[in-house]
Parts: sequence; structure tokens; C-alpha cells
Amino acid sequence: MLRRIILDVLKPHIPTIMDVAKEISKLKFVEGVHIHTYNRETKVESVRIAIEGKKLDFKEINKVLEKMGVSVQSVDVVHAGKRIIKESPNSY
Amino acid sequence: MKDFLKKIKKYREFSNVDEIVRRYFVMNGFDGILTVLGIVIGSYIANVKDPSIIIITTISTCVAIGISGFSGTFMGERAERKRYIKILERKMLTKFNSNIINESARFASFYSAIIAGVSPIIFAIIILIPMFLTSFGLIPYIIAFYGLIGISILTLFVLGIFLGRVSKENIIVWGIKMSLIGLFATLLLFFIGIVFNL
Repeated sequence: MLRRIILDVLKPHIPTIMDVAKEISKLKFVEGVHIHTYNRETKVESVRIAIEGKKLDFKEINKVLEKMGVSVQSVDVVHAGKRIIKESPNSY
Repeated sequence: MKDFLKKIKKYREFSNVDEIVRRYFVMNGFDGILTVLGIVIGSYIANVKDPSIIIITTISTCVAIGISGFSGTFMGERAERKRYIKILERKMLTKFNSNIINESARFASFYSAIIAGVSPIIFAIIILIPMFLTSFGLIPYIIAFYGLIGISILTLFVLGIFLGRVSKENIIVWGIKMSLIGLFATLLLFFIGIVFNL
């Protein structure tokens, strides 16, 4: 049971991160979305998307992202199980 | 219906098409107005004073301009949008299937083409109103002729106001600038007519 995932994605400037966040939060199982841009180039930007929910469906999330023209580069963090484990700075 | 309008709004926003559409609207509208003006003044000089001939000639010419505007804009926009998508795909090392970027690009080409195609026809019909009135026998030809020139210049003034609002500058100045272009075209056409009639 996926509770929280952090994705590293590459996206065009438009749709904006606000559009992407709104679209992801429309999914029923999503409780919260956090998007942070960390690199901007001329046509594209790299962003980190954190999604939280009770029972995340990665396939559905990926479908929404594909629909928005966003390409997932990697899944960086995954939280699953009954509770979300707090990360310590030494865990990586 | 609400969903459809929402979708269109989204496509317009994502494709940034409004700016281009405004440009095509003015550009092709201008084409339509000056074409009608040219045909009407040319016919007057050539002593063709049958309103039905003028109406048929101008409308068919403007429909041809409309078709040219539609197809030219559609193909040009499509090529530009495809190029943009190809650049994005290369930058993102991916291949877009059916996503919002593809869809809004398709919408943008079609939407701008429709505006580019319809705009000269609409303007032509507006300024041909005096000719329609003459063909119904409501006003004499000479009044329709000068009325048409007046309406053309007035329409150009309104188009100038629109451009003034777009540029967020003085709308009256823009209106006058556009009307002057119409006036200049009219005088030039009369001058050419006089030269040919000599």
C-alpha cells in the first residue's frame, strides 16, 4: 500500500507546476501534492513531485503525468505500509 | 457543454494561442476590408455600377481570401507547433503520445485557422451592407458607394481601437492611424483610376 512517493520528472514550462499539481490532486486517492522546481532550462524544467495519500495508484498517477506531457525520470522515494516512517538525514 | 468550454479554455491557455489569433484576426480582416475597397472603387472607375456584380465579385474574392487564410494559417501553425513538440521531445528524451501538449497544439492550429479564414469574410459582409441596400433598391448606388467607403474607414477605425486596447495605448490614436491607412488606400485607388482613364 503506497502512502507517499517522490518523483523526479522533466516537464515543459507549460503546463505549469500549478496545472500539474491541480491535475494530480484531482485523483481520488491523493491527499496532498507538493511540487518543487529545482532546475530550469530554455524549454524544459526539472521538478520533484511529492504525492501523499492512503492508497496511491502509481499507474494512475503516471497516466495523469503522461497526459500533462510530463516525463518521469525516476522514483526517488517510496513510503508504504501502515504509517509513514520519518526519514533521518543518515538514511541515505 | 461546460466541460467542453473548460477544455477549450485550457487548450487556449496551454497553447498560448490568443496572441496569435488576435494577429491573424486583424491581419486578415485588414485584407478583407482593403480587398472590398479595391474591388468597389475599381468597379466604379471601370463604370460597373451593378450592385449584384459587385457583391458577387467581392464576396467570392473574400471567400477565396478566407480559404487561403484558413489553409495557409493551418499549415503554417501546424508546422510551427510540430517543430516545437519535436524540440520538446528531443529535450525530454521521450515521445509524446496523446497528451495535453499535442491536443492543445492541434487545437491552436485549427482555432487560429478558423479565425484567419472567417475574419476577411465577416469584415467584407459588414462593409458591403450599403451595396446590399442598393441591390434591394433602398438607396441609390452613389450613396451606397460613398457609404461603403465611409463604413470601410469606420471599420478600420474600430479595428484600430481594438489594436489600441491590445497594445494598451491610446485607442483613438490607433483608430486614426488605421483610418488613415484606409483613406490613403482609397485616394491611391482613385488616383490609379484617374491615370488609367486618361
